[in-house]
Amino acid sequence: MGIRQAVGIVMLVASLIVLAYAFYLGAVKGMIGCERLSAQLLVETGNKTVTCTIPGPLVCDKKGVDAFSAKMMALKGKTPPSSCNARGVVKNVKIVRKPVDSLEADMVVAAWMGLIVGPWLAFGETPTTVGRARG
Amino acid sequence: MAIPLAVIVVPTLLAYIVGYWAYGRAVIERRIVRASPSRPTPAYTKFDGVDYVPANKWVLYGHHFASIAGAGPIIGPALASAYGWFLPLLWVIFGNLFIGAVHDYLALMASVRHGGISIMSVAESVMGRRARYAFLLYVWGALILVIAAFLSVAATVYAAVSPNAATKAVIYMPIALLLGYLMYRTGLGLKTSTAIAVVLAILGYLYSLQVPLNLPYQTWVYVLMLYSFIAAALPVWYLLQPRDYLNAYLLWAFVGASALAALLALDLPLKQPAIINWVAPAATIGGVGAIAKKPLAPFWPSIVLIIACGSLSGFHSVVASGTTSKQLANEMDALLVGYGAMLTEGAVSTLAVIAPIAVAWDRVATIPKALGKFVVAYGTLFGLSLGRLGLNASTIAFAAEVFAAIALTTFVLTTLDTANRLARFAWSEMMDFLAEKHQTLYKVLTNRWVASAISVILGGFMALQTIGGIPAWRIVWPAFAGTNQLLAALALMTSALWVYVILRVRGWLAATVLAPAVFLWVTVTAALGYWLVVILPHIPPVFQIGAGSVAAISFALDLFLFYAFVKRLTTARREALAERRVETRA
Repeated sequence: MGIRQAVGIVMLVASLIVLAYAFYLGAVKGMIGCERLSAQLLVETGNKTVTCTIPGPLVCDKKGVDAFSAKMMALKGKTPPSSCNARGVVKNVKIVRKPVDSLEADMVVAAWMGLIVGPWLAFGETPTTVGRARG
Repeated sequence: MAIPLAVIVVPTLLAYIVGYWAYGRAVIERRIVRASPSRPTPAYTKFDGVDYVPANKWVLYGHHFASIAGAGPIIGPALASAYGWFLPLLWVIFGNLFIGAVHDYLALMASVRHGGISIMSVAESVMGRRARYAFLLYVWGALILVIAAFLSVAATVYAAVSPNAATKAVIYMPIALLLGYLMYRTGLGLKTSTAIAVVLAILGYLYSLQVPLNLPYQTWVYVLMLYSFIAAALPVWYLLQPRDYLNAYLLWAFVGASALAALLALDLPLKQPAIINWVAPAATIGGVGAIAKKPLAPFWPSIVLIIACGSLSGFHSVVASGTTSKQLANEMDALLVGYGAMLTEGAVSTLAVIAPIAVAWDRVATIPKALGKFVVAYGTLFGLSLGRLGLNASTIAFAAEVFAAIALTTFVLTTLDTANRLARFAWSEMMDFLAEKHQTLYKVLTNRWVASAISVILGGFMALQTIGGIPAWRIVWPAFAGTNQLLAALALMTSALWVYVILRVRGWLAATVLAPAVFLWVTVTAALGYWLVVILPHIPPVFQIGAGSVAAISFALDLFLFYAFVKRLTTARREALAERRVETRA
């Protein structure tokens, strides 16, 4: 076995393990990677409407997203928090989810590349069946 | 009395079925090109296991179809709904049958007959060396812009619009690799391999619907740059071909489901007027600001800028003569692959976009974005149609809307890596002037990894760099519709010359290709000129410089290559007449 083939096999196996684990974790947590949450509140103050943004936590699972969303949605119809600097009633709430870099997600895309390149390094010579069109 | 859906669906299906056999097969394939089952193709004569690789015709049809299909056949007709349903339908059907599909097929066959080189290089044999290099440079530039745009669009979709689509992409590639392995390395055969891959793909879809993959925009741009660099240089049988073939099942399901929904509800009344206006708002051709809502887009010639892929598109000839021609196993497969794939794309526009929008016009007329119009209309048609079978209409409508959104996001990545591969080919063909005197430099610059890296780095730069807060590619993008369609005109003119000069087809047969080529050139030139004079002065200054420069360069090239076309055609006609005189005397 040459170096190229050995590297390819290691890459393929490592990538499969990383992806399988990441997908398992993703199924458990409801997401792969992390998001920075915030909420945009539409506040009616007398005769005008203002938007204020409430910064939220960095979350890496769906439970965190649901908890923050529930907390913010509960503000509908109520007075906004003092950080909003607006007196009125919250008419609408929009949850903003901004993805951020995380080791978990970075490992997934690295494994994705490994899964594309690994088999080619390991078994990359053109099979003879490619020389004739079957089917 | 309300017009029923049948008025759109039945003529469309008839036109495509009859057109494929009576025109595509009987005229274009049999009498003009005279395709032969026994003539070896470059896939065999230049087989290299990387780019020149013979493929099963159904696999190649799927690969080609997935490569040419993007958001174009959907966005264009949705935008054109401002004219009503009749005019866009007319343009799609006639454009498809007599211009677009002919353009795709001839580019494919001209390339096959010239050893698999691109249509831009075929231009040398009919229009001269200068025309070839001008054409190659132009196409390469356009492909860099496509790479930049799709890097940005894909990164935006994955980061902000649908992180679930990102999960799907990550799962999908290994399944495609597995399909390639099963097809070419095991004895399983095409049907069993496909069945395994489709089942895994469906399971992957279901997983991805529940689990998003979160990464920010910039990271996605770098990841996708690396991905398209690798994908464009790896052997085509390894990743791109099986991946596109698998993707095509989603597309076929998309079109097939639309046809089924329409056939189940042929009596549904059309809520949209057949003709709303002969002149649409300027926004349909990129007008912004004060002129956006003004009626400044006359149906002709603007329609060629609004509906591209659904009717005809220059990018298709680059694909047909780039990746597809190098994989064609037999000349008799070309009709299905080249002509058939274009008609299938037309079916996407007619059955999946024009028909649903016409049915759901009362719900979608006021939706400002074309994509939003399409998604809601698609869902509505399904709800109304399958609701008649006793199924819950609103659940069906929602499921159809999600399916439509998935189909759209799938095509984004496939266009990106295909564009990079095509840019690699164009670059390598452009560099051949170095081959004789600077062999080492030629070998370095045309090495597939180096060529792939050059185009993806330039595309990435345009995706990441901003000018005044606007991504560099966006500044140039408003000119892209004209660039793409000009490419179509130039490719069809090249193919028409190939038919007349090299294949020596004469009389009414030659006219079936020459006439659409001239009509297309006139339409595109008029559209480009109109856009430069009427729309450009009203767009923001930074776009005037970026898009304006590209449009102006396109216009200059348009005139130069038309001059080369007319010059060659005139010479060829004189030669043909002289030959006839000699034959008559003899």
